[in-house]
Amino acid sequence: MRRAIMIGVIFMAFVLLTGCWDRRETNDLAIITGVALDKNKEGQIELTAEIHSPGGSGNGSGGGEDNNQGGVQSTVLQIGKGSSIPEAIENLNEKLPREILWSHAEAIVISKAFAENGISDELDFFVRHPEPRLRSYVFISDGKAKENMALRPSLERSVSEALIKLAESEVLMKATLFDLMEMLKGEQGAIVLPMIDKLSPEEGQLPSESIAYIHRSAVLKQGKMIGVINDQISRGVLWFRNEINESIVTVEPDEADEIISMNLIKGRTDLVPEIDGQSLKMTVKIVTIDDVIQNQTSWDLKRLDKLKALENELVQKIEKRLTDTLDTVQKEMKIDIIGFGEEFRRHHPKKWKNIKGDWDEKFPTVQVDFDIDARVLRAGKGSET
Amino acid sequence: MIEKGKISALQMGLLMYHAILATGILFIPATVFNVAKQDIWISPILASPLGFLSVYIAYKLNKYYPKDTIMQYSKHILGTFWGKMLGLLLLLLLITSLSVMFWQYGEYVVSEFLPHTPKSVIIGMMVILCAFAVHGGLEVLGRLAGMVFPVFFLLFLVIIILVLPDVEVKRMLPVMENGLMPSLKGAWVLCTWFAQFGIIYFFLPFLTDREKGLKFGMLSVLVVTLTLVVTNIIVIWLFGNVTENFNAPFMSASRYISLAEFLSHLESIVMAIWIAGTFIKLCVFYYVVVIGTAEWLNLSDYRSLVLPMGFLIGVFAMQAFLNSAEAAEHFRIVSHEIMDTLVYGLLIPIFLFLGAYIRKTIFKHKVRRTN
Amino acid sequence: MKWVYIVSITALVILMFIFQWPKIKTVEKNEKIAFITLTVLGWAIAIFYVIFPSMPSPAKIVDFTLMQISNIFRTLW
Repeated sequence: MRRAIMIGVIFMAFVLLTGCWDRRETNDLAIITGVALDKNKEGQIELTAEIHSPGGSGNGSGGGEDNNQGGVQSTVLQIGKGSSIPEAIENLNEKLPREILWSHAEAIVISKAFAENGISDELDFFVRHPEPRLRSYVFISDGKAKENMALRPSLERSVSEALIKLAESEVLMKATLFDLMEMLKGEQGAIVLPMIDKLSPEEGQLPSESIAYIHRSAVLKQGKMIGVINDQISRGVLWFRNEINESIVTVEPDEADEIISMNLIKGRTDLVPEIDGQSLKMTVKIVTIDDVIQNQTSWDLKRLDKLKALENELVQKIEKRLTDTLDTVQKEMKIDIIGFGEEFRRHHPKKWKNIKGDWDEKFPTVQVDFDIDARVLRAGKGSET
Repeated sequence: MIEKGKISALQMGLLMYHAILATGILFIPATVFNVAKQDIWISPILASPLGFLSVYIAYKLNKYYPKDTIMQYSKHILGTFWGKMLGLLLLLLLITSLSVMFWQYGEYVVSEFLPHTPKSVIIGMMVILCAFAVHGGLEVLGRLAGMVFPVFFLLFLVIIILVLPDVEVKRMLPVMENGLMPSLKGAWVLCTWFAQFGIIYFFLPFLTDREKGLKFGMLSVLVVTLTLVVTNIIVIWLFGNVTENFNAPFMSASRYISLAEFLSHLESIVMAIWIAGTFIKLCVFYYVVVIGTAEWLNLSDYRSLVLPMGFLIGVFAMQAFLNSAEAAEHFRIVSHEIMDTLVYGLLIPIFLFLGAYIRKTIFKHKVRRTN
Repeated sequence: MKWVYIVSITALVILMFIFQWPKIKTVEKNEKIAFITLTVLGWAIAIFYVIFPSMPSPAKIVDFTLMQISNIFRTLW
């Protein structure tokens, strides 16, 4: 009797332990690699999903090298429409024979029109859903987002992969879903996101062979896009936010009429806020280390006085860049995307409570001082004519 | 005595560690963040005295009645009838508490990992698994805890280390933005967890090295506090004020890990840690409920009660909350208003301790007078 | 649909009974009584919840009672 029961239990285990309810086989999945969000004329959300096509990458018989050759499409596009993102996804699901897997959607492209209407409510989906990753990169597209997704970049397998690589190269602005959330939650709700643009196709190229690239940055307030800043200002913003990693600075010393170019090795920014009665002061402390990569002038950079002069030029150049940034961001747009408010809150929590309410008026009046320490580490060999 | 097995004080400490921390490590940061904001790491330190007190009271009671668990000495202290009534109250609280824990386990697994699997299967499987462990007795539980702890701790450290490249210390500033009040409120929420240390009164009589019981009990509270502080600091360094968006920030942190583009999606590690820890936690409370019932009924063996009790708890767990709003209401009540754990973990032992103290001193006087 | 649940619950309880009953030492009367009482209680509660699915669970009852008690204390304060 007992043996019979034990055998019964064991057989039940066979049935129950397979975990059939939530099995997901790779060939039953539609792996989404990128998402584009648009708003069409009727105000509906159009969600364009870039789906990894198994035929595209699976046929590399001779190893991984020739995967992308021969014009095999490695991704397919599918559009879902609806009044909200979940509805659009359901609509998308109806058109897809496979179950959607979100966990590889690492590029989210939002169209300008969409962003102008506000993104915070719609982003809730990506935050709440357990699958999409916080590290997904978010972009704003100039023009329709899905047009960017339809491009066929020649180097990478798909647009989203190209975009991810671009963001990771850190030449310009990058923002992950998490950064976006943090900025939304921040004291001011001021957000800056990278914008992507299509390169107009070269002669003899098909329109779809052009590539998308990061160009300018979008500025959002309370989740709504209100403006655009150009690449120069974007870099300045990166300096303020201590996010600068890649930069080439070119100076043109007054005495010499040619240029010297330097590559940034290290840049570190500390914001030191001070509150003195009613006046607010921010000292921007920057330490940067650069290498010379091109010297067209007659300066002999092996000489200490010239090197010092060069460092001085560098300081002035950076300060100029940052002052330009401040002119645009602080004086014109009057939006705190450079994180001043957050610094005031962190260092002067008690006084911040009084300022917080009318920060929008206070922000343009903040007096900014610069304390820049630039060092040129290697002058390089090069010509000494 | 109903339990023939013995465990060492260290094993007891490990059992208690898991019993408190298993659910805490996932849910504490977000729950506390709602009130304490970026000061969540202070709250465990402020709440830990309650844990020390619970352990100390249980230890003191155990000193008075070294061979008895709470079910037996409540009879000695309050008399048979009131002792039984108190025991019944204790059992009811423990059973509901345990059913909520099973519900929480089932709900979390369903919502995060296996959305299509019926909850009854997930809870049922866990009940059966725990039933096997509890059927094995206290020694089995002690060894299980000893086995799980190193893995738990190692993986915990691995996650912490892998998160480190992404942390930013300044997210923690300003410390005590609104004074001490928010972190104190957070500490009050944490009392739910620290008061659970009270159930140590079921384990103290079964120790091989009884004199070390207090030491390892206190050590267990200390390690729990430290683990919570570390978890909270890491969460706040990593997520800052976004923490409130996550149900289980530590899980999201593991999801956030991405090293060198290939070491990512590590949430399964956290899930493994969590299931192992929760398993121990559920076993501890399951065992406490079963042995408590057996002692309450004056049985000589508790093993026959394991399965029917498991069935009952499984049913209660399935029925615990019908939707997430009811659950949220329950967790709001237990963490902000009045706590069931505080009642069975601290209030009842203190009450018994006072009774025992009065009884013992009066009894001593009587003895002296007759001499 | 409900009878499917009832039948499977009953089957589960019977299975449990068959599994556990031979293990209880025959001399122990108390244990048998406790075992049977708990099993029947569990079965009855399960059936009850199947028939009336919106009935409150013990967790909610405990919450409610504790809230009432704390309210009494609060008014006494």
